[in-house]
Amino acid sequence: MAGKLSWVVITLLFSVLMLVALYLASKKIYVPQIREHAGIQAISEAVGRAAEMGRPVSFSPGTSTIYDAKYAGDTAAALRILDYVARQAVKSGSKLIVGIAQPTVLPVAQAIVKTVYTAEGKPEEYVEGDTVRFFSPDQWGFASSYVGMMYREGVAANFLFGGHAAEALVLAETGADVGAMQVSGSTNVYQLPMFIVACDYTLIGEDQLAAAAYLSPDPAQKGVVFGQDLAKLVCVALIVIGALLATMGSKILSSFLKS
Amino acid sequence: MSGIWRSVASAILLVVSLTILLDFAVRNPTLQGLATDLNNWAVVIGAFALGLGAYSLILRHGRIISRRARMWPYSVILLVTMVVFVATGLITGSVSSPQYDWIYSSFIMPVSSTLYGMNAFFIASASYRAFKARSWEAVVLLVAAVFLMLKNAPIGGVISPVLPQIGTVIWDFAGATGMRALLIGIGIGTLALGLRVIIGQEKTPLGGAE
Repeated sequence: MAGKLSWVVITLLFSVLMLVALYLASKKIYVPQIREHAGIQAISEAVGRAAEMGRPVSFSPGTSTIYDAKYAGDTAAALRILDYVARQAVKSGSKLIVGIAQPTVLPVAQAIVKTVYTAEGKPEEYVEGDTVRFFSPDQWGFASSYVGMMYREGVAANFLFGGHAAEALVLAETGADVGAMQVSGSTNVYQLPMFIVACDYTLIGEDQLAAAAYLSPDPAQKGVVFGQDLAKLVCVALIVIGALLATMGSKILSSFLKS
Repeated sequence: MSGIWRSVASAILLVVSLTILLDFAVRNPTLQGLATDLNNWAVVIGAFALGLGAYSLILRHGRIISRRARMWPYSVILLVTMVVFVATGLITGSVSSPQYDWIYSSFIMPVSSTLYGMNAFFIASASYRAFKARSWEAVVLLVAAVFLMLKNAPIGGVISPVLPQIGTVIWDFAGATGMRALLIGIGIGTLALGLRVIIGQEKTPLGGAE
């Protein structure tokens, strides 16, 4: 298959960059300073607002499965953010409702939320089948259940992460309609505009994936974010070199990338 | 998840991930067979997980019905519908049977289409909020959106042939450049997250908070 050699080389190169950055951070040789991200900061603000209003917090980790070829990363990042949101909700005394679309995500989300409630000393507040609710694996079945839940419960904070498709706007607009403060994230470039216009804060593309490292209790994990930036610098260098080579009539780089 | 089980799950995750990755990079029949089996297992486990979902639904809605909580008749409808669907599938022996197909085409399809159609109204209300020129960024968004609308709507070319061209320049240069930058970042971000999951630094996908 065309592009396999270049895929292997680039994947290995980027992996090494990220692992080196992670190692340097874990050994405290170089711990990068990462700017405060308004969207991530807004998560605790939204949960706090819900607690003050005495209304629940809702969370969707998306409609993709945990082994989806395209959006598994989104689901994994959403589950990390769910861990953080659940912790914030328990600490502030807000009721948390997690809406699940995919059966494979259900036991993972249940385990995460249950562990958080137990770790924070409030296991009795976790209600089986109610805190983490399974709605439907059908896209519109899930959307109608989630929308109904937002209206019935009158949520004050709504978090939409993971892989969302055409239902994204329905969920986000409903959240805006019920007056919830909304934070969302997606790598689906077709749904990002929907989230951006309808939500208060949106983690655009890789921001959602980086949030998983950002929210980790281990500061060394931020090293990976630095590794990502190094990989992006390599990409920029490849684009500039490729443009220069193509202008000079050389096809060395484009041939390599197709190999 | 306790420590020992988390370690076992991490080890399985590492082996499975590397097998799938290697299968993509190296052409080997044994590896290919193994990777195909692993992918099939994922589908089978997914089907089993549906049982967990059904249990969760029955638990929640059964509780709502027994307590006569608010809107409990809807829970009855949900459970009855679920039973009817499962029974029809089991009795006819196929989800492509005329009976199953009739239920799907008569109930699910129209409702799904209606929900999808609602997007048009939601787009209108979201656009109204987004295009309020409250900041310089919103003004840029508004101007770009107007040119793109004039590019796509026939009236743009009728007013002036220049208007669709401006829209095309915005779409081909600003739009495509931004989109590609976004996609490169997403690819690298996915690789970073995958790497952290594979080496056991990210444990939430295994169901355990740190």
